[in-house]
Amino acid sequence: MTDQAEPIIWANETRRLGELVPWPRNPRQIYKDQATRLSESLREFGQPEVIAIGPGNEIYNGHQRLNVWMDEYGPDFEVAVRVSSRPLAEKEREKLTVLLHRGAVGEWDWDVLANEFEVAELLEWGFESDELGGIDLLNEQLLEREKNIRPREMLRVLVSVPVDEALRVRASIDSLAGVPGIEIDYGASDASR
Amino acid sequence: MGPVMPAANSFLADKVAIRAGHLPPGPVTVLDCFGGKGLVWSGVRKRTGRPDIVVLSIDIVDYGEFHLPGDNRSYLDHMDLCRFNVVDLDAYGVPYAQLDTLFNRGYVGTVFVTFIQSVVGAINHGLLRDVGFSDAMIAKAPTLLYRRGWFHLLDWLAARGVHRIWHRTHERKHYLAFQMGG
Repeated sequence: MTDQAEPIIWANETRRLGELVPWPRNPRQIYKDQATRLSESLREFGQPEVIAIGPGNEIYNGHQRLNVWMDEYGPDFEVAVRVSSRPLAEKEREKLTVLLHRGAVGEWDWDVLANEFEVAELLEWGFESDELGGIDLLNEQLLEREKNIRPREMLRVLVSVPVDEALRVRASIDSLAGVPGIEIDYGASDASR
Repeated sequence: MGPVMPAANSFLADKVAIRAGHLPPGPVTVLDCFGGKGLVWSGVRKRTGRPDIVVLSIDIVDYGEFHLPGDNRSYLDHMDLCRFNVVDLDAYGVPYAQLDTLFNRGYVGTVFVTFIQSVVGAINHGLLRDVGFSDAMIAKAPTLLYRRGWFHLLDWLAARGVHRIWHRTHERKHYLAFQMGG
């Protein structure tokens, strides 16, 4: 039985892709465009992040890299790995998976993204347009209008009528609609609600 | 910090564009009365290529950036406004009190305003009184009077001496620029 309180020491090693053992319960997935970017990133940047595994080559983090690189380079492709000094219990694997991808990661500073990065590049590198809608400084949506305004002297009249007389009174008021500048609004008194 | 995406910021590009398009000539010094995290004026600097735009921000929330803390109405009542050729009132709601103070103090400069009628659509009763509605009318049927909130604002600005505005409007959200005084 594994001593779960034993501290974990990680060591840098290498493995061939074919030696690595995927976790059947891995809850992470990757879409086609993400896989394409992952593949391209290996060509451009090499392996800045390593695959984390246990002493038995069981994968703790890096399943998508395994899948993408296996397709592209085959089982004999050698990758950098970090090997734990002891196997993780199943609950530890669950916790580590969530922490690495959700619970213990930072968040985007949208101010910095808006002011220091180009939106087109962010979209190319993996952001979705609806994520960036709030910071897309180029995505104007509204028409700008110029309007001349001038003071108007208005006499405000509020006419309150009994409900039974409403239709008759309305007909009289509607006859004023043709008077230039007149504004007519109808509604129920707020007190009646 | 998560994405800064409240409803008020959903037209950030338009807010940046109307400011970028109506800056006064020469050096620009802005009093940003609802500064927040400064996203709008950061965007203006980037869009115009003008890092020289100086912004003094006021906000009641401490975002950790350099700013004047507290209620902007207190500052507007007493600050030397001559130092600023732009005042920004990017509020969620109706910045009637702030505009009233600027007019009363004889401010001369470019003003940018965000005017949003919320779901309830309430308009400041002072503005309604200023455009001719009596207290009795306002008390009796306020929501009826709120319907034309945008038009009452324009009437009010015109009565205070504004002759021309530029605006970008989406439903009940209005982003304005105009010249005050001068």
